[in-house]
Amino acid sequence: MAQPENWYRLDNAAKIYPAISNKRRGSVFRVSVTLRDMVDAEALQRAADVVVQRFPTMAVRLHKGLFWYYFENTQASPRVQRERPWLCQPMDHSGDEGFLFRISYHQRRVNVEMFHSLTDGTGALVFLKALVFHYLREQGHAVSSEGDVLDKDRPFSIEEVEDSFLTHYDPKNGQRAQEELAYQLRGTPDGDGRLRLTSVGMDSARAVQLSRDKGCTLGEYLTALLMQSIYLAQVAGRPNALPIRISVPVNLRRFFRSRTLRNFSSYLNIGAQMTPDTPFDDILEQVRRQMREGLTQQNLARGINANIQAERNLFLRATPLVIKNVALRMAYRLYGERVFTCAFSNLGQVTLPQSMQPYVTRIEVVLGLGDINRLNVAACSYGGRLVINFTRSITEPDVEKLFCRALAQQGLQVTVQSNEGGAL
Amino acid sequence: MKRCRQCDVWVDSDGAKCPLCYADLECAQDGAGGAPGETYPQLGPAQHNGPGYHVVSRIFLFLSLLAAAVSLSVNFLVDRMHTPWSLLVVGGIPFVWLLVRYVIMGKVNIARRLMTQLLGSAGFVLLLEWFLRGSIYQGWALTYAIPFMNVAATLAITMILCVRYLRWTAYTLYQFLTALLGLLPLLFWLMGWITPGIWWPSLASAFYSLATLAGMFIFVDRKYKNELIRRFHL
Repeated sequence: MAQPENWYRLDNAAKIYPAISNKRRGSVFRVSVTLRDMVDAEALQRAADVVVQRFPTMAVRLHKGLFWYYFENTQASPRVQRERPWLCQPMDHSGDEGFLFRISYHQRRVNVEMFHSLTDGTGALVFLKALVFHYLREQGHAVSSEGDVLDKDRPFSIEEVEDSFLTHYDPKNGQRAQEELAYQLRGTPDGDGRLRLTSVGMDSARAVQLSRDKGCTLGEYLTALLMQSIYLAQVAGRPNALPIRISVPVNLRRFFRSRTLRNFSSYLNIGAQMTPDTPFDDILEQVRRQMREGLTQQNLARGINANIQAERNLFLRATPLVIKNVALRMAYRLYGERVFTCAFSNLGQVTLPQSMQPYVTRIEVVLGLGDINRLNVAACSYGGRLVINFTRSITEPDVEKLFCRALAQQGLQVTVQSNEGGAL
Repeated sequence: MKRCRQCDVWVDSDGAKCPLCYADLECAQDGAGGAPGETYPQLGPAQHNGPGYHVVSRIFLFLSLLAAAVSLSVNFLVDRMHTPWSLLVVGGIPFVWLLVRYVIMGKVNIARRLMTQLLGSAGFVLLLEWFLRGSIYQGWALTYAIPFMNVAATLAITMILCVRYLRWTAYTLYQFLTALLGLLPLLFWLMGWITPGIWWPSLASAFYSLATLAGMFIFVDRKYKNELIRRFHL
């Protein structure tokens, strides 16, 4: 397998995560597939051994240089483990092999938990698809990649390791303005710092129809509904509360040519003016306007520039890593998570090769949480099912409740699963 | 599949209550697909797996603070801090903590611990020197102590590198940095900070550092240069 070099710089978006990660904030997210049959751990281990060879940017350890962190390739293979009820726990960088991702399984489901420095949701899904592809092969199923899976026979391309932020950096575009502080959810923190997961499933065609009727996209509809749910759950009747803002990650590969498997996403912070009487359509209109203004190539390029310019500053670059980490941590505490109330990551429709589809029943995404935001939401659809996963660090499920009830009121058949069902 | 009438949703759970509103669930006959069963590993009752309570550490921390406070108080009561010996105690306590917790009990790479010890010891001898200013021992730290500590640290890391050469990548950065620190006594000499006439320890330290750096470049191959590029990339 051709490997470009045995070490990499962290890409522009990846640089922040090692600095801000700690025991409470893992900067970890998860992508999972549910299979038709029970998972065979040994076959999964064999598939993992094969697939890490194909993804040199994933099989890395994090090392400290004097000025920056860097990734170094490792020849080891990740150990497949049983899924634990504690979701998206921080990676132990100095652990056994020091892998920055974790492959786990539970009954029919295979999970890949990923440290955000390695890649974003899109890259993680590519990795997961390859893993499942090789797993199904190991199981003796006649699946073929149909050009949609980076299996071990697809040649490695140098474009996969490119830092696309640098490729698409153009100083002419100007920078994005500073963001303002946003409302933070209140609630009873879980004493153990565990994350509670509420998984909401529904028919994706009917959900899309619901948004079409309003003349908007599904992403816009769900963002507006989430915003209204947060407002009604906590903010209504508190006129002095900070505005609710939802951070919506944007896959930049849709706007800029790139085949990278590393981070290449940005985000938009969407806010809305509301009173308890604001009709849903008004909120939707405000969300739609901001989304359409924000999702232009020019505006996204400004976001890239702001980050790259900070990274290229020679004075900053020559500051030792120890000091950089302290500064980044402080800046993140002040401006990082505080400028949005919660993140809503919509990975859209996930596709699989036709030959794999009979074996895969469900695909889902779960976001981890930091210690400032208390709720994160991630959605994706596959095989006609839309799955929206809520992760929270507080005990009260009020936002989820209002969100689900609103969808049910629209006539959707909503199915709820949770990781705390047994305790209830 | 169970049903929550309050929320009007289906719930796939073994539990008896709705995870959204905690109302009792109904068992429905007309299940909307999907076999009932555990879908995610379930969270049990809270266990508080937080960081442990290190009793011994806390006792020593308490005693350290007490010792510092007692020294300062006695010093002040006896001669109004005219001879500020208590500052040596106050400065020595962090040095002992660094030595015990980081250098001896630490888990990180031993070369890094040695380098940290070098920096910590240098700080402590500088404090001693400040305390001895005006006496015949003035200039002792910069003239003798720091140059010899540099040589000792550089030599120690070289020995570790030779013995555990399989882990050389982890040590080279610190070998390089320690060797660079060894050049500093040359600066002390040029700036006239050392005892006049006693320049040989500074020169010895600088000479040993340069020899180590040269040796690193000559005896180790290209991998070693790559390691430095990695570690020092801007």
